[in-house]
Amino acid sequence: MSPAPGPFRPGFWRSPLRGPWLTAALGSVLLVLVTIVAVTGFLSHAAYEPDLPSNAVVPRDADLPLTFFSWPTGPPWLYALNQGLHVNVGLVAVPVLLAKLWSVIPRLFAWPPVASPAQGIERLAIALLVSSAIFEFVTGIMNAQYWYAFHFNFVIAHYYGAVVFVASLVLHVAVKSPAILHAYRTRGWLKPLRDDLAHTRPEPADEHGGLVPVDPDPPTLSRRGLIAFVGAGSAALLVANMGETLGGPFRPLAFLAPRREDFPVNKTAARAGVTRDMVGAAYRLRLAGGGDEVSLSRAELLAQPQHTARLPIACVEGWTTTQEWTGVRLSELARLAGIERPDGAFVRSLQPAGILAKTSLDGDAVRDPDALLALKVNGADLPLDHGFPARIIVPALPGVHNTKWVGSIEFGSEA
Amino acid sequence: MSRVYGASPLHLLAHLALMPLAGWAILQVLEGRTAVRIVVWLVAAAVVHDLVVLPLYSGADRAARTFTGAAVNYVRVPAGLSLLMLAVFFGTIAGRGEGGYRAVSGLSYEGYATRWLLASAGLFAVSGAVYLLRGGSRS
Repeated sequence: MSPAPGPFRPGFWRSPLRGPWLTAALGSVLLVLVTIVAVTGFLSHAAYEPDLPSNAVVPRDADLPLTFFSWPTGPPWLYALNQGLHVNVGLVAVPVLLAKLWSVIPRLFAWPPVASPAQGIERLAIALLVSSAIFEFVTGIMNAQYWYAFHFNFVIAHYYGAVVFVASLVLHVAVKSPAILHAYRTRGWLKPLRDDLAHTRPEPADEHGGLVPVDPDPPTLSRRGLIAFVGAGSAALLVANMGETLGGPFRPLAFLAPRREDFPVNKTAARAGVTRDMVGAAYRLRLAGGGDEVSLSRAELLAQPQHTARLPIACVEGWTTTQEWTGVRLSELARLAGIERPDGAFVRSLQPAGILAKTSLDGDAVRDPDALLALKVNGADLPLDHGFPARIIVPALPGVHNTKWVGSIEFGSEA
Repeated sequence: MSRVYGASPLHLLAHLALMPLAGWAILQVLEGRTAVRIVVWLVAAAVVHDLVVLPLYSGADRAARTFTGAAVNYVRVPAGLSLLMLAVFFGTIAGRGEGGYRAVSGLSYEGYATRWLLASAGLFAVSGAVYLLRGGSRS
């Protein structure tokens, strides 16, 4: 066999910190973080209730059978919490992922590249793991910043990318668990963190791993120093962003977050193609489901019993805004439409096109006492960009399903 | 079997059990209109990180060690954090997401580059202060 070239050469990688324990430690932290991100991601997919008409973005029968439960309407901050975790824990995980990949880079340059069928199949699986991990982070982060340079459907790509990621991650953890446990047993769970720089030594040579350098540089950083560096990176990204999730006094602190407004507009009326004429004196809300269609002007809606609720709008992108909404309960509108026991609703916006012009709500969402067709926000008429003359607001519903500029609601009935 | 395969049969079974799930997801993507773009981004993700990003920051780190010697961490840490913020929030700092942002909100991204520069300057300032407090200038 010819001698290994360049980075394939033993001795090319020289960091004295690399070794099975460091990789196990970084991997363990990363595993906890990406588990939170993955679980909240799949929960968000379920929260969109993709099995109801018009709700699916990922083709309806081509997703995993994980959407069998109906997303609850309480507590009202549930979706805000879910997406706050998804996006902010995702950001926290970025430096940990980078450090983890740095810690195992010598393995990319193993020589010979494939020594056995087992190694070949494992390397293929790891290629999928690394690719899908970076792909998920890059697309998620770009999407939250409205940077759509990828020119493909984000939701679909991010969903299937997540499936590839989770499958290859579960496999990786299963395959590596003996090596992880061995590293912890022989080196101690946290013991290497006790070493300051003067006591930082390379880990004992690992015969098969290839992580411990054969020709190490002197250390410039202790292992705890490296982990503190990674933690500082996570903290910086968290501080720079999480104000958009927490809101209130924290919002101005989110100095790099894409959403720094107190009451963000997710789509302007101009962009949605909704004009003043469409929402003027001629506006009528059409209610259907129980027989004859009912038609109500905004004045007639204001004459119905009004209910006020303080509810968040939480975007899939991780920002949240909590406002005080006033309007007519959806269950009351169902009654006006002739349905006493509604089991769902199909809402159409006046906006002429777009995937969110039509949305299905499930029975829980329609029956919740705080689920409203809001006419006012914070005591004033809804601004046009926030859905004047009337918009849906339902506790714990994904932000974009709170349809703006509602034109009609068709209620379904229980049995 | 182990001698030929190179690992225990469990290793093979684990791969045979889980790789089809990943394969199914990739097949779903391949049916879509933008399949080629998604696959290109998927492959580029690992290639760009492993063969461009990592060598670049490793090289920069090596250069920093040459210039700063034992004081490397006083440069490495603020520079690393600053570059991390730039990379992760490039869409807002460099305004790359501004078109999409304006489309949904009617607003534009204001002041992100300034705030990133100020945060970076603050990190270097704190690092310099710590260096002085530890008597670094005497060594």
